[in-house]
Amino acid sequence: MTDIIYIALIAIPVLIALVLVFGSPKRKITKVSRIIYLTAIFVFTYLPIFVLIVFSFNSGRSTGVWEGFSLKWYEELINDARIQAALLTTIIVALSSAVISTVFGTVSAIGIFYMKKMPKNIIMNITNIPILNADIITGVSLLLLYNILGIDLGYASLIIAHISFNIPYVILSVMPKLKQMDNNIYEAALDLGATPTKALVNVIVPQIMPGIVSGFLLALTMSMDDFVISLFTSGPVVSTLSLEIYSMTKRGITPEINALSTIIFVIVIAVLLISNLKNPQADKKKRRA
Amino acid sequence: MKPFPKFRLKRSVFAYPYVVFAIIFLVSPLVLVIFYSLTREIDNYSVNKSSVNSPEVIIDNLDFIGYEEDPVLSQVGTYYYDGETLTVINYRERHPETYRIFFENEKISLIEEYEGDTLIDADLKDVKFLNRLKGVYFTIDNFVKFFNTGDYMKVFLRSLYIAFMSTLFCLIIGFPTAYVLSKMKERTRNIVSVMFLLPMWINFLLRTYAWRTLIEKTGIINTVLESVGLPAQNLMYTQGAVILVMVYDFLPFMILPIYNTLIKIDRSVIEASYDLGANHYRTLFRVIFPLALPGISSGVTMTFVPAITAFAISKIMGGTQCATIGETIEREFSTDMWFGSAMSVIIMVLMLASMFLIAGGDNDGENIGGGLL
Repeated sequence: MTDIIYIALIAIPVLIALVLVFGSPKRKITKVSRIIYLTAIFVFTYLPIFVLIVFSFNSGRSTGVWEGFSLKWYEELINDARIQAALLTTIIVALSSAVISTVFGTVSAIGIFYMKKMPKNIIMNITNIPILNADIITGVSLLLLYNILGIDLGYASLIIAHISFNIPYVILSVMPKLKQMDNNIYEAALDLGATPTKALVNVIVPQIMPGIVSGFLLALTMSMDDFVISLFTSGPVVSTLSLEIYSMTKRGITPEINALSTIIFVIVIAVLLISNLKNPQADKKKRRA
Repeated sequence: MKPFPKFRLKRSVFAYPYVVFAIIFLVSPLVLVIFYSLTREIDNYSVNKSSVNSPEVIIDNLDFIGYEEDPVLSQVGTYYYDGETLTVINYRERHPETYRIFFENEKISLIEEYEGDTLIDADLKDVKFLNRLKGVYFTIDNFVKFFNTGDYMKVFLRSLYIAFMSTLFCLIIGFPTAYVLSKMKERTRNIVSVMFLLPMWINFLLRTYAWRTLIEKTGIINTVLESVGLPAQNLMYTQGAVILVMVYDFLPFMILPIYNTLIKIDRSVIEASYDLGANHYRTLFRVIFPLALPGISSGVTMTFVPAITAFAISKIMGGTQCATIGETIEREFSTDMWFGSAMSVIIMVLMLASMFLIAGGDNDGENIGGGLL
């Protein structure tokens, strides 16, 4: 019964919106409804986050009942060794796995790009496995592998697991840039006397740099956000932020963790804004090119 | 002019380390899952019971020093040894269970809690490396157990339903969003698409939990409803709640691939359609929609696959009544790897089948995952 209510609640406005949103762009109502539609989606997207941020300033223990404004949970956060340790682990694992998989993935992508068609197709299909496969299956299968190889669960196993699901993202973001690359420039560099290594570093790498950067960022994000694979490959001692939060959801979450995510969220927005301030120049360069 | 240099470093060499890495860490784990799903452990129980002289002696003989380092052991949980009995606490589930345990002095000890006796020493020497696979035999019992047990099938069908509904809603909500986005000016749409990605920087468990505080019985939505004079709704612990949060969590994975294909559509194709006399709707359904299909198919895969195996969401939002197959796999895996593997294999087969259906067979190996990037 509740299902039907849900479906009606979601489906009816959506159906009305569909008709309006896909209308002819000449009609004024289309424009208005498009803005309304997008706003609605944004409300849906940001409502929980708004709630989360607001309740990080709650003076009570609850993440759902407002009791008054305080910065108590931010203070608590500074003194909480457990969460800080988890945060540190998350950062170490995310950064190291992202850096390693970016370097390894970029080098491999260049190699794969110059492979013959048949092995190239096979290896690209294998590369797609962790992206297409469900997290839980990647997790349990790695756990089985560690059991067989006798690898202890801990930092090493966690980082290896993260590398193995990050590398495909790096390869898949570098690959398109390699395809767009003008191969004549590389040949020209060789003709002008550059060694293949020099040509690789000075000619190919700068051209695929945007792909490398986006691959790194993607790897970092995936690694920070990962929960399921970490759950199976981290063992009892090492705990990432996700695992810490998961164990908290069983005991009940305090606004402390809200405070932490608010801080992370603000930092991310700040970084984005700063990089956006630099962007106009990059845009001009693009237009000139 | 010098002749073109004949000797050159074969650049594909760069990929060789990755090939080795991929075989070890991407392919062999899946092979292992399939292997485990088709095997079971030989039951040494009755055989070895006779070899036990008296429990006390065996307890004294056991070397407990190394257990914390043991990978198999440490995945199981914590241990209490009070001089008489050994209790195993599963650290994920927090309740005592019995387990098969490997000890570091190269000796398997089978530990079961049953009346009176606590330990049975199987005393198999040389338990190193691949020898851990020694005591297994091939069988399809794991699959038979899955398909013959009504509870597992019920959970499986429920997960299918939840995943299907979430994917459907994601598509219904996501396609128009991507379409509206793609119609915006370049600068605006870049900013807006980043805004869709921003929430992903907040841990998804927290975002899920935030929904819980919204729709709880004493939650914010109910408080608002009551203050307006409407009756409070019981939204938590229903399939609807699970679907709602799944739609919320996976929506970006649906929007972005579709958006990426939509902005790549050549404008001249659309203009040609208008020039040839098609009206707005005809162009939308006969030109834009078919051209967006690759994006839609990768969006559907990127939503459906995590939705069918997600277990944290259903655990937080659905409680015990809405257990999904992901939860079952996680639970079974800590007690019975063989059966857990069989369930994983079933999920993998299902996903492969759905991918082939969605991709329509023309999978060239580079389109699917790339849609998001």
